[in-house]
Amino acid sequence: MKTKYIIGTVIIVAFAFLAISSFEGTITPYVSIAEAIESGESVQVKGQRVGDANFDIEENLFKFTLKDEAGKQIDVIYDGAKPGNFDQAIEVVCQGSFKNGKFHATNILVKCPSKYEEEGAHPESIPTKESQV
Amino acid sequence: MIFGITLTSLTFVLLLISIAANYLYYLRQEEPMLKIARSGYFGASALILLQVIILMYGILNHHFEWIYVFSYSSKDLSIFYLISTFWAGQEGTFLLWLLFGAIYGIIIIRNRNEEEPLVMSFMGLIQAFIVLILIKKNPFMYVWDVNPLGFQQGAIPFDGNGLNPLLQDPFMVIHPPILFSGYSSTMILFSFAMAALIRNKHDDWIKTAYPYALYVALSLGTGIILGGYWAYTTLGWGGYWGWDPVENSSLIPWLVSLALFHGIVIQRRQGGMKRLNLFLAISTFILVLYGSFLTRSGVLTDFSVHSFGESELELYLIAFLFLFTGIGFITYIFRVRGVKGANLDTGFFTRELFIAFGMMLILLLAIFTFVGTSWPLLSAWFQDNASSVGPDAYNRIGGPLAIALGLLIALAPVFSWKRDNLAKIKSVLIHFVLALTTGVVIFFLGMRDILPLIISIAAVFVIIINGQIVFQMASKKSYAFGGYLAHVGIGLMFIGIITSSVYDESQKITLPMHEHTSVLGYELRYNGKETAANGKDKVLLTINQDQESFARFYWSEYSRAYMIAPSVTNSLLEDLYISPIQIIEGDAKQQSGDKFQIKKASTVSFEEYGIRFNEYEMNMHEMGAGDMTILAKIDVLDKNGQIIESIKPGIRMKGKEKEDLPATFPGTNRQVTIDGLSVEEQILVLAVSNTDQNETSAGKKEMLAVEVSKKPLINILWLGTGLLFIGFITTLVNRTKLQRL
Repeated sequence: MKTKYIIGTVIIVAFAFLAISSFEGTITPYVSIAEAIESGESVQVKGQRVGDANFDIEENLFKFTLKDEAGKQIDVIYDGAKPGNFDQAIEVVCQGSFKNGKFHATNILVKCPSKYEEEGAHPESIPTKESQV
Repeated sequence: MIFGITLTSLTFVLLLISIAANYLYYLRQEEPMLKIARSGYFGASALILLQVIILMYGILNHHFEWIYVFSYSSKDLSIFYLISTFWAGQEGTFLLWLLFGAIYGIIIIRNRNEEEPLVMSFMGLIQAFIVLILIKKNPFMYVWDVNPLGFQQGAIPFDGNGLNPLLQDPFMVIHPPILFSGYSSTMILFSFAMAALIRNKHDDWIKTAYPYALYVALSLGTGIILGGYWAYTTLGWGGYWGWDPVENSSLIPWLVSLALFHGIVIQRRQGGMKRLNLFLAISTFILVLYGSFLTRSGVLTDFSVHSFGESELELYLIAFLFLFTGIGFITYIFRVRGVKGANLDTGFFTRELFIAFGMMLILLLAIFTFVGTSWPLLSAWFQDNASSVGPDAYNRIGGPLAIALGLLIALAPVFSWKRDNLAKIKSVLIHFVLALTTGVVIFFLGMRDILPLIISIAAVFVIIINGQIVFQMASKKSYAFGGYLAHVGIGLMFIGIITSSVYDESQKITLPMHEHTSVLGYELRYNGKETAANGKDKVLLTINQDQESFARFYWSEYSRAYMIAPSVTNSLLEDLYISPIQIIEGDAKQQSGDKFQIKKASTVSFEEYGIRFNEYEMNMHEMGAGDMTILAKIDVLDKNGQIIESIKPGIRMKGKEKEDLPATFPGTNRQVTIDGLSVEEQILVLAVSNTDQNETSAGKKEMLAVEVSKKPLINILWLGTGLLFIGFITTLVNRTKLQRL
């Protein structure tokens, strides 16, 4: 009964191809702002917020400026809700890509000085819809 | 508290004695040793229970001098949430883990299997290691011993830090204990597999371990699903699952436990899968340890939306993980050659082969999730820039996987064990036609995408075939239908996930106060903010003119963040999910105007008028405790000092909320409001607006920015999770009964 081994192998190989292709499309490297501007691809940048952040009622967009370790600044536009703890953030990680002079974020992670530590059932910021099943 | 710390240390000693005695009994079969071993474990278990009781007592009685009580609890919590404080922090969850471990150990001892001494050696070893962590980080330590700079020796803090508001939720009262009962139970599987390998008895262990394997899958699964409900109803980001490392770290061992008990079913039936089952039993536990390491040590801090503790336990957790990974897999590698499996060559169209392929797919998903979750750590090794994997990766493989898995789950019950018989497939031809017909119907109802459509057809196929078996068995009073019922649940979950997250609609919109706004076929009205006594302020909403609902939007001092919780309106066909984004204040208060300060019984000049402040008028009992109204009696005078009119601007305090009671400036539409006051010093700050009131009311109103989503047929998903749960319980009860007979 060799058939089943052949079929099993085929399934595993097919899965592996599917897995690798799904994987590659969503891998987002951590880069500096300079690299993000240069590549224009989907990346993650980490930095500090500069000045005020505001929610634009007219366009339903959330806007702020980010500065990375190298001191470079970038305007970020986020099509989502302002994370609840944004104003207290020490560090902000933005996922997205650089287009037309602005960084379009699809997801923002906010790192806060948390007093809390726990087994993990505790999101400090709110994931966006993009991260939903 | 030295007593508590002594108890923890004593537990460790008793466990060591029990481990040594168990092992000696295994080597030499001397009865007294078994007695010592059991007494040691009972003693340790009693001490664990005692520590649980003491910690609970400390929490309920506000012993803020203990670091744990200080860190996670406070006086304003209700008894309900005080109890859940117990598992708000690492020490408490480890204690919970130990408590469940103690219970499982006692059950194993009471069942008096011949595996007991070796199994209990490993159970004891794992328990001892967790106790070691608790010795390092003890919940009973005094705050001044942990942080001598911040706390004076012997001075009991007046109040605690408080419980994270996100955890003040009914789901969070039950979700952690259930999940931890699952985490803890995986060590049973590990211990039985190790005992089987060392004793070179690879057949009998599954008989005892099968109900435990079911229990692991049941408790982990229930914990995960409750976590999903919690995320959906509390966090307000619109979903129930986000492929986040914290979620994944409990999903991976759950998937492996699912594969394991299917493998045990095959081994019971025809003796195959022996090596794999041992491997999976060991892996389930190791993966729980790995998940604890990922989520508790802080290694993924930059990669997850969850916040992790930057814990000093990292080294301990790594040691814990490496030690048991080493023990488990080295033993496996050296002993696995001795495992003689029966030949699985029974033919292609057999039930075992379909189950085996199903297991393979589940394990492939587990491996994929494992690699994806660990990617930030893996990529940091061989790339300059670490990278992470987005949730889309999982969503993309999810579709094809669901189709294949659906077909296997549908067809597995059709074929017999061992006998290769393709002809049997004819018996479900009608089921297939029914599923296809349903597919056509849902196509015309609006599901036009190929992948969701095929998944739905496969899911309907699963539901019809397995559902029919459930009914047939139940009508014959056979209670062996649990597995089929669980599969019906899975089929429903597939459909519910597709309708609620592929075909959801969502729109961001601002709702002006007291105005109707149409969105996604609903009419919504924002009715303002209501202060809640517990600080969790509500924004009031009216849906379709008659249904009152609310979402929460409040500042949390604890998290130093605005917290939101959605308004979820469940109806039969869909959920309306409204998540507040921001309250945009109206213009009324921000308008420019003149402000000036007046002392009691004095007059100041304002433009061409004179304004005299006579006295305050207070009414404290108008609306109940905490509410009060303060009015300022003011005369507006003309150039000659004659009173033009007396006015009474005021403010009303309702809890913490302040409401202006403006007065109108004589002869104009200008508003006079109280901008500040001091009753003791009898000082008043008045504000008089520049603009006419007419213009003010035409200015911008207060608005609520919200994200409104529709989740079609999400009830199917919840129904599916319910059936999955009932299916597991039925199988577990049925199995345990069979075992006893």
